[in-house]
Amino acid sequence: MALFAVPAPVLAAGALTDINPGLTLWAAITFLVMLAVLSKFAWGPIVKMLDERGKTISEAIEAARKERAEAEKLLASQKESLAKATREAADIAKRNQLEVEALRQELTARARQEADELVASARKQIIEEKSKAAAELRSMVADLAIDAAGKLIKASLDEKTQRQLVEDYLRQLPAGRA
Amino acid sequence: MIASTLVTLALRALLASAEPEQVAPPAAAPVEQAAGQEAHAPTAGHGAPAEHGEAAAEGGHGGGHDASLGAVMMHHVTDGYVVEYPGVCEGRPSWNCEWNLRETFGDSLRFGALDMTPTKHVIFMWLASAALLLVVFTALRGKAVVPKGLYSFVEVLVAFVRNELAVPNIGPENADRFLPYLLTAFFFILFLNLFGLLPYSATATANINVTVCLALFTFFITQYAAIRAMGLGGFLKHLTGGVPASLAWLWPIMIPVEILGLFTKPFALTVRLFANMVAGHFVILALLGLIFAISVWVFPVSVALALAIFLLELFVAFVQAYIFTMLSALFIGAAFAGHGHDEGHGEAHGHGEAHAPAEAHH
Repeated sequence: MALFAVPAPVLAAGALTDINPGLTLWAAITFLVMLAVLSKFAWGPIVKMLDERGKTISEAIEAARKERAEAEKLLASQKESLAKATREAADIAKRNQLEVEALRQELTARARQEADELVASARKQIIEEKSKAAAELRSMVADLAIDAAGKLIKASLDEKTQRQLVEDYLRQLPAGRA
Repeated sequence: MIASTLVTLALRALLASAEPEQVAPPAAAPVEQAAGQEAHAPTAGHGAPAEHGEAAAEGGHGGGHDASLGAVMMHHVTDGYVVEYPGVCEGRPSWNCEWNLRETFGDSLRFGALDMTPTKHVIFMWLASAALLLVVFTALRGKAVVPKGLYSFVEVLVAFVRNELAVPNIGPENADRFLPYLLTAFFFILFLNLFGLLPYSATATANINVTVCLALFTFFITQYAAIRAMGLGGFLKHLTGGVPASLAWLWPIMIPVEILGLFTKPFALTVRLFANMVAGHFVILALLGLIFAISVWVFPVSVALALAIFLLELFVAFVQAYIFTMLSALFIGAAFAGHGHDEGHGEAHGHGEAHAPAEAHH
């Protein structure tokens, strides 16, 4: 403990607590100059800037909030119109499919009908040709018969010769024509 | 704990071994013996005077000064009329050129009893103020809604003083009126504190004449705020401590107590700042002094601890600026609140934090 007493003469030298009014006055002058200069050129503008920044930020937040709400509204309407468009597209597709189906059926039906008609007309024509040919044949047979009869009459010989004549005539006809 | 023990040890060793040069020879023997025992270095006693010479030379205090370590430490911390700097003097480069302010200014700034000759602390106060102006005006070039560079840092401190110190203590409606004072006090003290940590410089805030000036500003502003808030009548009535006129016989007790109470606040501000700044420097010097007092081989421990204390000092520079500003704001706010007795919490808080380094060296 005696050692603690030793510092006393040095530490209590008084130099630490010397009173120097000149120094205090210089400190006051320096401080007041700093106060004046810094208040005017630094603290004022900085505090103003802080306020301005606060205002800017709160405005920005407010604007962002508003814009967000708007964007959400817009998004909702977009979604709705998209859904509507999708629905419409589906409807149109469905309708188109139905129409195409109907058209296909119609076309198929028409084609079949046309084919049927074609077949029918062909058949009719064939029948017509056939009857025409038959009529022609018939008239030709009649002419031949008349012709043969005329020859018979011309000859008018005995029965034997008549027969002979007919048979000859018949023989001279091309085979299979009857 | 270790640090405080070592500091105590260092101080003992330094001051004990310094004694032989100052006191009579018979006293030297036991003190030297004690120093040897304390330091566990038997050679310290013999080597001490020679090493003191080195210490003085290294510390830049050659010539005819008192070369004991205690004196070196005092010389470092106290004010004077000699500014030391590295440079060219007497035609050759030197680490410790001297500028004698007394010789420069002579008697031109002596006004009767008032000696306005600038001292070392005045010079370094001006240098620190110039640095503060330089930093702030450099920073202001980056002023913008989106801040950049140094301005961001200055603005953080400004915003801190405003939002954490001024507004909560004084109240939002009056805070901005006192903000310039609080900001200037904060930055002024901060820069003076920090400037004192530079090599060759001196800490003006480690001078009680400077801190008393700052405390007086706070005192006058506090009284101004109180008178403004309560009116002169209210202010005088407040000096009775709220004792009603029916108990007027108590006033002779209350009024001196209240008037004392007015002055304790600036006194506390003065001593707190002064003692903290002195203490940190003493601790660093004592730790480095161990190298000269014990043995050069303690330098790793000395330098490491001194570095740690130096970093602590950086922190303390901010803390003291903060505490001074916070207490100023608190006192001003208390004046507005009408009755200035609710600052007890802040005081206690300030003491607890602020005096820890001061106690370390006792």
